[in-house]
Amino acid sequence: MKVTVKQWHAVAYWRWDTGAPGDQDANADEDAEEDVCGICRVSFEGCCPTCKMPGDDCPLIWGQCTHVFHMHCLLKWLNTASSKQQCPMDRRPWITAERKVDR
Amino acid sequence: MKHARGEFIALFRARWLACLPPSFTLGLRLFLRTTLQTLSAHEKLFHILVQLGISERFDKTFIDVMYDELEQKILDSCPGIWREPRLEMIRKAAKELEERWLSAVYGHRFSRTENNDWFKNAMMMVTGRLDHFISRTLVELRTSEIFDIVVDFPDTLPAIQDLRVCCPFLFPLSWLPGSLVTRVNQRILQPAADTDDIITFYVSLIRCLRIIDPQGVILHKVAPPIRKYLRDRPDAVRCIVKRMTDENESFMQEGEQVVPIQQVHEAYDDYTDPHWLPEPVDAGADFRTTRPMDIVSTLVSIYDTQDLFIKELQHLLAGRLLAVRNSPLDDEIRNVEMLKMRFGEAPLQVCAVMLKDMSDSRRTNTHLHGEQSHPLYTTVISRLFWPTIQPVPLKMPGQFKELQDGFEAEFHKFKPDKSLKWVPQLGAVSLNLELEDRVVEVEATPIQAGVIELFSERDTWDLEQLMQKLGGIDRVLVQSALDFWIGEGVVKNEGSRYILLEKAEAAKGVSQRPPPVDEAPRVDERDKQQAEQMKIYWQFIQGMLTNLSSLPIDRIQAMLKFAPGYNRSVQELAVFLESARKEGLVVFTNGAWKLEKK
Repeated sequence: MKVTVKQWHAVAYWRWDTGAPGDQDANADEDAEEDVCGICRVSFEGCCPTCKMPGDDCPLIWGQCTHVFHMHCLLKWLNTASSKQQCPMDRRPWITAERKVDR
Repeated sequence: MKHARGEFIALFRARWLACLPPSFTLGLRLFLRTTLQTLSAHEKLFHILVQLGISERFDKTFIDVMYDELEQKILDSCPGIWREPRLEMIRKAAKELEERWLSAVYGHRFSRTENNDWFKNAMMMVTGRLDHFISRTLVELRTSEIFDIVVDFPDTLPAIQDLRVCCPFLFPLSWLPGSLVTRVNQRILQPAADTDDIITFYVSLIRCLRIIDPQGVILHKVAPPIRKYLRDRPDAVRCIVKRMTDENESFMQEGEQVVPIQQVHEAYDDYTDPHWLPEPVDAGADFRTTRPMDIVSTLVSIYDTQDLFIKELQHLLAGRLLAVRNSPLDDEIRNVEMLKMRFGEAPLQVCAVMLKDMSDSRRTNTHLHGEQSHPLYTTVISRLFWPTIQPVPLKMPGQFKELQDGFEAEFHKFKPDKSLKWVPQLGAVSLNLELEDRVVEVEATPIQAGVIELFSERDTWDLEQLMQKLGGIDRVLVQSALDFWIGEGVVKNEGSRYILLEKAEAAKGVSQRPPPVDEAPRVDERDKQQAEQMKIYWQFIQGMLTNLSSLPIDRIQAMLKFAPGYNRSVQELAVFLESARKEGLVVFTNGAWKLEKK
């Protein structure tokens, strides 16, 4: 018997590739605690308080200190005087990391 | 001389009339009815009746004859006829009858030309009374039929309009609510009635009563039982939402305005309204002039919160979006826009995200595959904005896996920041199976497709092997997929083994093809989700039973109501407690629930 797929309508959901360990393992992260933005405490896959659409409209930003935030949240933080251009998690100077495009 | 004659006549009449038995009235009435058809032939008769003083003495009976005749006419021509207006016709008939009858009975005494005024005055008085009589009789008749009239609305609009014309003549329509409520209880608020039908009836009822009684007094009396009943029906929300978004169904009438629902709950006091009316005298104590609501707002206001609707909408939309293939989304987008006008922007944000996911997916797929058609079309969804999907550990075998991997790699190139997680159990596959002697074209679920893909590797499998190959999914799922293929006549069952039929066998399985099971998993998911949510409340229950030792179910329910987001009915709570009892967590004694002592 030969099976030919004429049309397959499949469903998938997207996740940010945060590069966290275990991210590649399909089953491990089902139950793992959801990653949330350290500033707004909303899941990375959700959107920051000022956005309405998740995903490309509300992207993430990676710091060299390995911390990840919603970009909008972090920019807002950096714009305040008290931030002193530091990462809100570890108070190191914020340097946006180059994202490696390939895994 | 003339005086003596007058005295004689008076005496004669007094004596003679006194002899008549009481039953004479009835006899006369019936007799007079028979003359109605051939009035002109009885001119002499009426002359005699006048001479005998009967016309004068029994004038009431003479009028009653008209009432009888009209009642007969109404009963002959109106019951069950709702699709055309009747009132005008009857009024016309009444007018004609009245003219004929009065001129025949009394008219001869006064030549019409001379005493025109007297005749007109007499007519006017009688006309008014007759009209009132017609209205009352017709309203009584229609009241007894009101239930069926409402059921057939809007075809019965003429009957309703007749009623509206009649009603203002009659002081409180006190009997309408009573008879309606009884009928509604008997016919509609029954377990056997379809929720959809109840809603249809309620909608028709609102529309009918709005015509008859614009201030809504009757509706205010009739609606509460229906609303209460609908609230207790678990599938009512689903039905309402389904119809709200169904394009063939219109809850909106011409010229109706969409009213944002938030406003509905505010007190309605429009002091600038020039059409303001005081509360009707027959209104109940708790009657409130309500803001004019459209049907949807009325239906939504059955429930205390809109959350139920939003959640249901989300589910419905999810189901629909994942079912449409490549058809345009315009309808759904328009629907959501419409609903935004009602519920406000914020609650429907999830739906907007869902729609955006759909259009983004379309763009992604076109980008990845170009314009030429590719077997795999993937909808990429934003997980947090869709209804919770219970993970199924399905692993697609063979060429499906290749398609998935190919897509995933391309997607990663397109959106380097994102990775994909498949929800393999959702979606649909159209397949072509080339067997030795035939080609089978079929629409299948991914699980069914996975199963048949494995059969293309090997002809014989048993259930355990299939389960294992598909990533360890539930036995029931594999079983039902196999049943599907047995039904299609592609696979047969021999003992514990399943064998591929390269050559078709006498199709005995086809007739017993199992019913499609597509819907089932969704329902399952809902139940599971509800159970999940109930777990949170279990902690509350545990807490209160620890502190207060034992509680009847009503108290538990009352206290749980303080918990945020708790919206279960007592019945659902009872089911939950019962299952907790089976697990040995609680015991039920003397009508109260207690924690099982460890």
